[in-house]
This record gives sequence, C-alpha cells and structure tokens, in this order.
Amino acid sequence: MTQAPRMSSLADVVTRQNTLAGTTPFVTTRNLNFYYGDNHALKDINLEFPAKRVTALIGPSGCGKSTLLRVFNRMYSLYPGQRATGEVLMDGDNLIDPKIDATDLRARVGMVFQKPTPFPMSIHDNIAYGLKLHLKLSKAELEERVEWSLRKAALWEEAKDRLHSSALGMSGGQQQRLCIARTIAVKPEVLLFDEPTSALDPISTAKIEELIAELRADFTILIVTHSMQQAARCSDQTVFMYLGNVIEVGPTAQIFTNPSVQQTMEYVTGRFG
Amino acid sequence: MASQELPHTVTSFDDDLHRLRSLVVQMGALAHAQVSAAIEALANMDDSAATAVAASDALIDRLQIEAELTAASIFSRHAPQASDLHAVMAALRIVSALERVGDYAKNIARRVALIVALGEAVPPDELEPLGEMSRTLLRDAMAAFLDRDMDLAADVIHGDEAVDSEYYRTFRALVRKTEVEPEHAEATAHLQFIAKNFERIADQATNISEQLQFARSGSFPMDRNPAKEI
Repeated sequence: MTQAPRMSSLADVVTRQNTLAGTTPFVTTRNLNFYYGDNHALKDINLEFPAKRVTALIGPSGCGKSTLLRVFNRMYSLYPGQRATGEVLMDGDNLIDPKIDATDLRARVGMVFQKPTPFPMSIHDNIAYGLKLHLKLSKAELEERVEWSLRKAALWEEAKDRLHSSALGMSGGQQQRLCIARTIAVKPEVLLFDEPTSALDPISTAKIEELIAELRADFTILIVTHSMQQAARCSDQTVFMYLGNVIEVGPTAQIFTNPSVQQTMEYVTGRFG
Repeated sequence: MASQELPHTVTSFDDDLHRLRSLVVQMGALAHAQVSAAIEALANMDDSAATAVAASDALIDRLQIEAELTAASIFSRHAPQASDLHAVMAALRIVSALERVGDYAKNIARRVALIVALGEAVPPDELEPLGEMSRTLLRDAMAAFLDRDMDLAADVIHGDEAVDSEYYRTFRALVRKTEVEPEHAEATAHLQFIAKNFERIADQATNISEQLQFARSGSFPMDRNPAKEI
C-alpha cells in the first residue's frame, strides 16, 4: 500500500521522463544549457513535449521557465552574450542551430507574451501582416486565412464588423486573443505562451484558457504561468523548475495531487520559500 | 509528512487547516464519550443514562456541519493541492464516520431504554468484550489521527478482524440464548442490534485509520475491503 518515499533533494532526482501516456514527443531538448553571459541559467535540460498537448512550466521567479520558453524560438539571439548549447529537436531539426533561419523558425514556433502587443494597425492588418511576410497567398486566400485565424481565436464574432478599425481600440482580453490569432495565422507547429493572462481580468482569463483548450487539438503548446491553478486547469503535463533545473515532470494530475519530489510538494502546496 | 511541518506562506491557510483538524479532534472525543456512556448505560441497564446519550448526539451533528463548512471554505479560498487536498478530503470522510459513530451510540442507548421498558432481567454480559474492543479501536483511531501515528493506524485496521470474530461469537451466543430463554426473545433481539452497532463502530474506526493513511499517501490500498466503504 505504501507509496515510495518522496525524493528529498535535487541529488535524488533522476532526470528521466516517461512520455505522457498515449502521446508522442514533438519537441525534445537534449542536454540543453543556457547562459546569460557567465550566469548558467538552464542546466542540462532533458525534456519531451508531447504533440498536441499542453505543457505547463511552473516554478518560483528566477527558476528559468521563461528562459526555457524563449529558447524554442531563439529569442535570445537578439541579445549579445546569451547563448544556448545542446539540442532542441523538432521534426529532426535542431532549433538552436544557427543554420535554421530565425524568421522561419518563428513562423513555426509562435509566441504570445504576457502583455498584449497588437500592432498599431487595423484588426485585419494585424493578422495579414505576418501572412504577407511569410506566405504567398492570393487575396481570397488571405481573407480566408484572416477569418480562419479570428474564428480559431474565438474573436470573429466580436471583430467581423470592425475588421478595419484599429486593434488598439479593443479591450485587453480582445487584444490578447488578437495576438493569438495573429500567431496562429501562419499555422505554426508550436505555440509558446508566456504568462498569457497575468495582465487580464478573470473573465478574459477564462476565455483565453478555454481557447488554449481548443487550440491543443491543432498545436503543441507550452505555457509559462505563475498561477498553479491555471497550470492545473490548462495543461496535460507540468514541469516544475528551480534554479535552472528541472525538478520534476509528469502528468499534471499527478504533479498536483501526488508529486514524487518533496520540493514539488512544497511548491504546489504553497510552502515554498 | 515533512511538508506538513513547514508552514504555508499564507498563514490563514494554516489557521483554517488547524481549525478543521481541531473540529475533527473534538468530534472524536465526543464520539468516544458517547460510546463510553452507551456502554455504561448498557452495563447498568440505566435508561436515564441512555436518554442522556441520545440527547447529546445533536452536538456531534453540529460539529459535523461546522467541519463541512470549514472544509468548503478551505476548498474555495485556498484551492488545496496534493497533501493539503488529501488532508481535507480525509477530514471530511472522518467527520462522516464519527457522525455515524455518534448515531450508533445513540441507537445503543435507545435499545437499552427499550430493554429496560420491557422490565426483564437480561444481563448484557455477553456484549461486554465486544463493546470494549470497539471502544478501544475508536480510541486508538483517534489517537492515531491526533499523533499522525501511521503504525497505530495500521494496528487499528488489523484489529478490526478480531472485532469481527468477537461479533460473530456474540451473535451465536445470543442466538443460543434465544433458544434457551424464548421468554426473553424480544430483549435478546435488542441485544443483537446493539452487538451489530458495536461491530459498526469498529468498522468506522477502521475507516478513520484508512483515511489517515490516505491523507499521508494520497492513495488507497489495492486490497481495500469494499464492504468497509464509508
């Protein structure tokens, strides 16, 4: 009857992950390390992110979860002194290999940030801009894709009668859904959400969470969140990180009801720090 | 478990958990007192003591409601996870078990009053060992809860088997009594019901200990006896 005793320290953690049952990994990190100059921010990250599932990254501030997220679309390449080593594998490509074009990468791996960032353009042009940049679509195809994106982002009904009005006139929740529509318009393979609802009211948050649940049918999703309840609600798999290390990874239900590592238990029960 | 020794960052969470735990302990003490009073009333065939037991059951019921409201408040305010979630779930099941213990004690007391009303001299000696075993198991279950003593909880679970054996011995003895003294059949029938109530008290003590194990591990044993379900 007795459960195996919880591992009490990082030294006890076996950095081995069982693939989420019934899934296949879509993105895999192997011996991923990241540095901000001399600061070793991510340490030997070996993770699998299952296809068309939501993986939540949780942990205290400074644990490396946003750093890890931003490796997948090479955001760090914008800043000198930041570098990654190891591999981030997707479809046989190592995403952090400089030979992979960063612009093309960011069409395959889309990102939604904490603060909604609509372009100072119309709702329509916010979405059309990326499409024109990456794809050669006819006008009809472009319009079709704009509508598809807005429908997918649960924004079409609210936006269809004002497509050519400024996106800046939308509410915060609408702007964030517009950013999601803009991201998915180019049909990426992976969606990265970096605290997507922390700036939103509860109703907008609920709508975004519902949208994430729908999007997982088509996209592999990673989400960084400070809200453990959001991670518990939205994700299939949860990764708990601390000081640049992965402490525990597993099915979300297990992480939040019966984690294997004492440190994880202390974090999810609010006893951490 | 170690994580339960660390305080929550939000102190009101600890306060609410402590309050729930206190209510469980209070209920346990009261339920044990009720069982003891019922045993005393049975031993002395004292119908006034029996009446007092029946009247005190309402306090156990009120404590159950208060515990349930406290648990509901914890769920809504703090969204407990992992070990905290198990602890609150276990506490809810334990208060339900204790409320039933109170009912069993009340039922025993009512049966005593009915036997006294029959005006027959029917010594309840056959039930003394069973009553004492059940009371002891309940006491140990609550001691295990209070001290978070997993070994004692395991002993309670294993001890239920002896209570079941004693119950069946008592049952057969009372059946023989009915055959030998048919003029006391009605009174003996009440004693049979009382014996069953003692056996059920012991079952609830087992349930309490199983919930303590659940609070610790977050899982139930695979060989859990479905007949013992709360």
